[in-house]
Amino acid sequence: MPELNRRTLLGLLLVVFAVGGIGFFLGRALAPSPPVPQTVAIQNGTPVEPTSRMVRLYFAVPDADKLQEEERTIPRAASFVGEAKQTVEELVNGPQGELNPTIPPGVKVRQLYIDSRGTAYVDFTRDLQTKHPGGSVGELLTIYSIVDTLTANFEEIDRVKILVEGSEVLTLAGHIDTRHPFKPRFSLERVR
Amino acid sequence: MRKPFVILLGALAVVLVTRSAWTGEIEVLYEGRLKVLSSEAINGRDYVPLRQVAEVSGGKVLRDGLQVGEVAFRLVEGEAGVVVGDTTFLLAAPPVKRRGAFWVPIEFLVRALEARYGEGRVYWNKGTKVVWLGKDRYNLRLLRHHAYPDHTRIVIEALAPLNFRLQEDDKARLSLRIEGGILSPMLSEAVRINDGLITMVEPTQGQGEAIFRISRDSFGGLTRTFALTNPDRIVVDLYGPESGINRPPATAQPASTQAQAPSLSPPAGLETIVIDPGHGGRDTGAVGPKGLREKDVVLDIALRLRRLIQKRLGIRVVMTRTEDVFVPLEERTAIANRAKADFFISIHVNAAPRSRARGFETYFLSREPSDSEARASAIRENLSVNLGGLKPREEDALRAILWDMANTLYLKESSELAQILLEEIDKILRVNNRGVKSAPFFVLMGAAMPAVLTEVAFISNPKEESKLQAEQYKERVAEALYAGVARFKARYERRLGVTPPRSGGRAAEAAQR
Repeated sequence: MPELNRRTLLGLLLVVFAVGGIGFFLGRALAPSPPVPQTVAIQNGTPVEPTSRMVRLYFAVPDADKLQEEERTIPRAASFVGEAKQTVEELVNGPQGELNPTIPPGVKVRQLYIDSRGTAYVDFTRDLQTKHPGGSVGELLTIYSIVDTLTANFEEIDRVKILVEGSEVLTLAGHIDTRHPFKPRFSLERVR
Repeated sequence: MRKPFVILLGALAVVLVTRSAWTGEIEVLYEGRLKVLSSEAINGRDYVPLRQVAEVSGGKVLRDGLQVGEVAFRLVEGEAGVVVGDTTFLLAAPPVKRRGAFWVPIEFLVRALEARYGEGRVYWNKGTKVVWLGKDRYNLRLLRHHAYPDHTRIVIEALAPLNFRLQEDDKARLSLRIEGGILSPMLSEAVRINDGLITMVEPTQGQGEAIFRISRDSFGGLTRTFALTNPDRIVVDLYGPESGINRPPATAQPASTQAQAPSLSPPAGLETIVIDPGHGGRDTGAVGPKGLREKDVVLDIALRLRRLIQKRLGIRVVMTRTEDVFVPLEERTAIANRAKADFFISIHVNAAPRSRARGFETYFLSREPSDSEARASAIRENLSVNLGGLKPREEDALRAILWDMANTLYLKESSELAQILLEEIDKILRVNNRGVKSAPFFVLMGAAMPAVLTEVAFISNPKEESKLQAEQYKERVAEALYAGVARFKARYERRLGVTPPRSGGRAAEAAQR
């Protein structure tokens, strides 16, 4: 048993280094950067299934006029759908640096699933609506932090539809139409 | 007479429900057999072992799912999405594993039985926990409805193409009769709509047909029915009455589209503006750190703006609300469309949690999602062009082209209006200018006219909240918005080459309102 633990730990360490190394060279070059490359750790020449991966989460900058990335490491799941759900849960947990959260505290991710056309459906608890502080910018930041985070980390996801308690909703707080799936935006740019 | 019966029925239901809950059993009736599955409540939902599902559906348990005939269901522990071929469907709860074996929520049982016996044959009563195969297959799956600015759309999803006809029983009631239609158990109750046009739809199973009785709120009005495929759907569009009843009394224009065929008289100037104070009633909008409510501030500013426009420009101002009431978003654009307004301004204040954000910004509708049915429908139906004399196909094509042009024009004008308002606010308020942005705003979606949304300050910022409490500041905000409206009007009319008749009775009449 302790041997297994040590091996797992070693594997984990290797992955952290591998991801860190690749991330260092690739990470800053592109903004928005492409989905995080799948990393494979090599141990004694044989590939080992990595046990964690890095994801980029999008939070609000202090002036609330755009989104910015923060990195997290999440354990690998049985499928990317499970990883996508964990990633959104990390987003809900909020930022660790000086960025601002985009999702009201206490919100839970009920489910996440992906259809054959690359649309991810993320189902949240009612709090996403009832505890939302409102404001067009507040609502846009909430929506696009979810959409950008999912599309940036999972190449299988092209668009994201937000559900509340299993159902389609008209808006989160009275502004943005949430009846349709959203494509990523990677900024909340000014038109002029 | 009826009461004892209801009580008896209730008692029976209680007995049935409690019995199942105690024993944890789900009864499956199929091919003359009764099979009792042992169920277990997991996270408040009924689960059955996958092995037993395989037994009743004649399937085979795989390492990663279930094979029923040609159909393979791929399951992943803890994930609600089930992959079938190249599609995925969603269960209400994910499969779980007990001692290495899958347990699945009861809906999965229904799906597995459908794979064997065909879609439309498997019935399920949640209350009594009985699953059975119906003698007849149902072919009408569910009913949806949506309120558009000028009509209500009712959609019935079918499992096969069916013949149907819509008949008028009397002025307030219509019947949609679907030949050979069999209602699913989901369609056993009346659906209350109450959207101002339709009160409710009651599905009833008749002999060899299904009947949907549609009760209208108001009398008469155009109807349109058509079928769509993949999946098969029957669509009923119900419009409001043609002559005035559903319109605000202020509207003076003739109602029928024919009467508004393009004429050779010079185009009129800008005549009607709709001001939409955001939120209201039970929807307070954003709330400032000291408790100032968005719904109150924006109504105050909107009423000031109305006064300024009426006094100085003399054009007609229509408000979506003038007091603290809840007005649904669809209704706001519907008001603007019915008033055939020239443009629409929604007034809001902004919020961003825990941020130092301050300043103002203006928005217009982004192209995403450009295929928005609501907007397409609104614009198409508000196009007042007489297309008489054309073949139906040509008419459709022409409408599509006109719609596209109108949409492009409205977007262009909306972005100009957003820019002009931004510049005027910048000049007068001299606070942080956050620019013109675009986003898919619900309230702008159905507007068949240039439409913008302004966020005049951050109520979440303590300094800006204090400013918004001052009468003087609110007046300045209204002045800034007024300056934008006046400039847009002048520019619009210059471009159209109009010298608007401002001396007429209409202006004077509007000024009095």
